[in-house]
Amino acid sequence: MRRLLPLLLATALAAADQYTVGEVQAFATARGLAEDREWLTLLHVERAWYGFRRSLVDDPAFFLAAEGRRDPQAELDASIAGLLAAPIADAKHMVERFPARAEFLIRRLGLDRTRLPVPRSQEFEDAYAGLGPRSAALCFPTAYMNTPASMFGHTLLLIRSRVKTGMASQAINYAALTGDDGGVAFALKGVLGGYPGHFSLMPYWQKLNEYSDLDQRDVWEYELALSPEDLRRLLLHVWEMRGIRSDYWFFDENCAYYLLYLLDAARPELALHEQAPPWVIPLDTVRIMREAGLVTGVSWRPSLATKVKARAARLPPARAERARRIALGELPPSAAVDGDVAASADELDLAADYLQALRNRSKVDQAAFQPRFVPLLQERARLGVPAQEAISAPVDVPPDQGHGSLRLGFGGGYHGGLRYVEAAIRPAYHDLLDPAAGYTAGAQIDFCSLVGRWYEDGQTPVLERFDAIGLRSFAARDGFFHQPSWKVDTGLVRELVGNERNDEYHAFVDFGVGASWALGGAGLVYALIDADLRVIDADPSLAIGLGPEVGAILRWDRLAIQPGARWGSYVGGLHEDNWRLGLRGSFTVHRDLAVGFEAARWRSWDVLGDSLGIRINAYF
Amino acid sequence: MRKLLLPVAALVASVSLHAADDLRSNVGIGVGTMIFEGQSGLLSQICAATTNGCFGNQTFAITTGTLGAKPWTGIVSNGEVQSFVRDNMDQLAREMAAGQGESIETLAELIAVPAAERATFAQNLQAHFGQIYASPTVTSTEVVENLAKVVEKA
Repeated sequence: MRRLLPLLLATALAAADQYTVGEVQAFATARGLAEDREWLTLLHVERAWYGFRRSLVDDPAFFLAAEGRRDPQAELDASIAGLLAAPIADAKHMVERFPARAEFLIRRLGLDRTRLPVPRSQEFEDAYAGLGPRSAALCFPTAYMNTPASMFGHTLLLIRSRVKTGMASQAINYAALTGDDGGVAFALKGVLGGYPGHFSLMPYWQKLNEYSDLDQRDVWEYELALSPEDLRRLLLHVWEMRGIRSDYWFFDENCAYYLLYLLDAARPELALHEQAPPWVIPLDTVRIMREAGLVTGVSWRPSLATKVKARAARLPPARAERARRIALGELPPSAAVDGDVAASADELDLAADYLQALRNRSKVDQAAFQPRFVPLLQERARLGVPAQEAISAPVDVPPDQGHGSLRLGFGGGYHGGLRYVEAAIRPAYHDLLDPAAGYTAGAQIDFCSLVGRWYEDGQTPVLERFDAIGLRSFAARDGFFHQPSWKVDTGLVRELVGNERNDEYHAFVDFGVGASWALGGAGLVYALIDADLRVIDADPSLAIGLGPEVGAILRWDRLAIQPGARWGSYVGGLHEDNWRLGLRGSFTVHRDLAVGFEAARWRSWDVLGDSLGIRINAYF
Repeated sequence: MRKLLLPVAALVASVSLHAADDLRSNVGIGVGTMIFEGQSGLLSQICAATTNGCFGNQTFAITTGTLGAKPWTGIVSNGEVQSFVRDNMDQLAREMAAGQGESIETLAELIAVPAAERATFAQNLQAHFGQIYASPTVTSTEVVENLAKVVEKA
């Protein structure tokens, strides 16, 4: 009977002049559509979690049934009722509001379109024809050299359209509407789902203007293997997500996660969102898509800053310097032009790139920019089209091919007179000494890094250090760019204090700002002024330490080392002068395996000690 | 204003950004980036670190963008060309002066320049750069008008 029932219902449906809601609902129920993977994906229903299941979408407008968010069956019944309802003037029909659901029902129930009150969403069909979708790509803007934040990056989907250049693609973006909040409120609300997330569509050139010109982020594009049917299903679903709000959660329900849903709507059997880890980094979505065999090609777009650096590096120093002065308005554009047409063109291009970069950073205002920019280009236009070298990616490894973002470490050593073994976990993302391939040099973003140790005199393991956030942005200064270098560390650290070497936990916020300079191709040196705020178990319960920090990050092939020295004078609940002199390093065995080591002598809280440690780090 | 916006909103199925679009409908060189100004401070970078790069000030409701674009009748009245030039004033200037580039390719696609004539098209724009970007304060509407004169003469 179970197998016979759908057949009987299908026969009844096929024979009917007009569908009745009850019959179609019974047919859909008999076919088990409410639990169909595609249906659950269209509703964004999460897999069951202790029997509790609901859609991620928070907006009631996304559901036709009152209980639709929690009850896929109720939503299915309501959608069928909507599909078969007669259109009402001034109200959007279900087919217009939810064309992906309508197409799903028509396809899976084998309904005859001509017998439906609203056979298709004309609005969608017109838009679809206007767009002329050809294929899709995933866009991953990489780190802006001075913003480790952007290392987490962002992902958006591109629909290659009837206008065949890449920049004319349609960008599909999921982002939070943050309003005018700033500072801590911004950070907290972002993490805790306090902002509404929305899908938006815009010409890709608008995003390129934002990423590659303004934010100075190079952009990687991954072409995706989607069939025309997949593309259509994807756009149908985007269409019904218009104006729909979902709370934006930084760690999981973010841009990256929602894009996985779009891909699943395109091809339900992919089930990409089910493969996502508990925390979703945009880069992981690239990896998930590559593993699913969706990636067919990779390309790269340089940002303005990358172009400036590349052109300045290949031009003779005198030409680079002259280009800089032309951009600053100290020399006329004609100063660049001599018998070497290609080099003259390169020089003027460098001047124009740099002038635009200055404008984007508000270092040159509009009134000064316009009369400098146009004559410069007029000069350039006279040089024709000489053969100029293209600008190639400074890293030869696309970001998804770098090391995994979860790091597990196991090691041992000697600290303050005691031997120990240690275990460490760092869920995300990259630190300065991790294997460098695919990552932006001089940038670090660590989240929730935890180190536990078992000392030889201890009965139980102890928490050695917890870094909630560890950021570094060491962007080398050159003739063109002068960003500050800075760091922020915050967390909890175990300290040995005083003659008794008492264990104490200090909560800390350690902030440093300064500058760094390139050392040829070998690495960079940095100098910072640090301010280290400690919350301690004393009276008063705060201490602050100020002092300088200097160091270098050097790389030779697989070996990276970071010698460094730091001094800080503390006042408040603890009065001490602390210093530390040491060397950290890492040897890359394999993309996902490295050996880290450390040697240091330090004096802190009136204890003089040495540290020596080694650790195997594996990346997943 | 409200009267004008209503049909637009109906067309685009969203009320977002259109006021802003109107304000930006006729812009000069270097203007496109101004809407992003004030986002680059150190503090905002650090805040951004804890709230993911996904955040930003942009269009947050869906607009159809180039979806649903109508076929054009001429360059000047071609809405797609208008908005493309408006959004890419600086890059177009750069690539017109260089005699090649993606924005020139896009422009050629938008006004249906046959593939065989694209190189000549780009060279023609380079040769007439001074007429198209006729002054430092040229606006996007003027660029489109000047472009039409150069292209239609050719």
